[in-house]
Amino acid sequence: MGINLEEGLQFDHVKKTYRNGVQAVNGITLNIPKGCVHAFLGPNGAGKTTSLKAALGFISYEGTVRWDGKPIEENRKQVVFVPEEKRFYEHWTLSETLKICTKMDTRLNSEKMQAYFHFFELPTKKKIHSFSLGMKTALYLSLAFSTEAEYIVLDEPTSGLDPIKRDDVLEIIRQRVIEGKTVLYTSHIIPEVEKIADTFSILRHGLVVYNGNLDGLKEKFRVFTFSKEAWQKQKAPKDVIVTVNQNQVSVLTDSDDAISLWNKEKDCFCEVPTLESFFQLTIRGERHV
Amino acid sequence: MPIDIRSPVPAYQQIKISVKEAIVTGRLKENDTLPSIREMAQEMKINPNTVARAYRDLEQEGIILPKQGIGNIVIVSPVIVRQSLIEELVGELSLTMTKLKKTGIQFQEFAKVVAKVWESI
Repeated sequence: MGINLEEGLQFDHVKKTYRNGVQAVNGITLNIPKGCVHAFLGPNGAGKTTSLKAALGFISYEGTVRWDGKPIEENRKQVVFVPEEKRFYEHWTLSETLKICTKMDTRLNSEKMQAYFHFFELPTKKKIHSFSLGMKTALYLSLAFSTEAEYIVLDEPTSGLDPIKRDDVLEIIRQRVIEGKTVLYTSHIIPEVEKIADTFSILRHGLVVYNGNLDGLKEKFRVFTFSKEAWQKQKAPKDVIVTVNQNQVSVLTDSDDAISLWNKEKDCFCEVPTLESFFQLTIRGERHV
Repeated sequence: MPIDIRSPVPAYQQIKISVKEAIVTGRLKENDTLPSIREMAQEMKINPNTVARAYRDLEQEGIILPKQGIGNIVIVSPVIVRQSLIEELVGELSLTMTKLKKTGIQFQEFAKVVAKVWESI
């Protein structure tokens, strides 16, 4: 099945070097199909937010990003974005926000917005400066969910939300995807990504170190745990990521040869990776290719 | 029934298993229509793409057939599905068996344990 370049979001060799010489993104090439939830995972400084900002045209960068085959400038109407930093017009009340925002952005459906305000239990008469972080997050999400834009881009969308509201937000995201929208989001919270993402990319030092889906991990990868001594007896293996942790060595691999060999080995323990363990191992591990 | 995301069994496979179980136990009969991808996604709290993958697999295995304007129809009898359900579940079991074998357990000892568990179910 070929990739339809007229649909979905394409990053092609995207690079960003800041003026101080810091290379935040080192050449990302990715195809995110339409109608899915794609998560960017990675430690702080891995390039998640910078990649989003480049895709949204907020910063200059090398390479190209296409939304349904078009640059962002030609497709901005189809994209909504919720930034990590929730800055808002602090002296407005919620009802003023609703009035002004629907005038400024004709994509916003005020009935939907009101429904979301109600859903998130936001007080309509209070000024936004009295809002908690969670309430500001809820406000931003209410705006983002009240348009019919094809792409919803969310940077750490659940920060400050309590666990119940967080689950509600994930449910809304899923609903939007069922309706055919595409959601791109960054998160630190792996169980959340596990619940909602169709596909994900793990970023490290501005590069995509893994791109795939959760079912693919479970099918292809295994984690073998050896004692240090047992590991030293193993022949130099290929296509593995090795993490040494005190007296224990964890080896992540998708090599069929390694898996069938170690499945028979008595001195190790075998597990199907969870997203959490896979993430930890790809970020901390040393590659033997 | 919602999918268990933390399970080592891939989500799409869990969907396949639950469809096959529904056929074998008679909750879904030959010529019945499966819930639509959207309905299934909602019910199982999973993304539609995962459901679509499961349905594609079931179609390739000759268990369901998509019919325009109707949906996905069950086209085989429980007898046939039973065999493929068994294979699917044995696949799940093999993960545990790999772990067991590593403990050094011998087949006869293992068989005794299995018999004991079997009796208790």
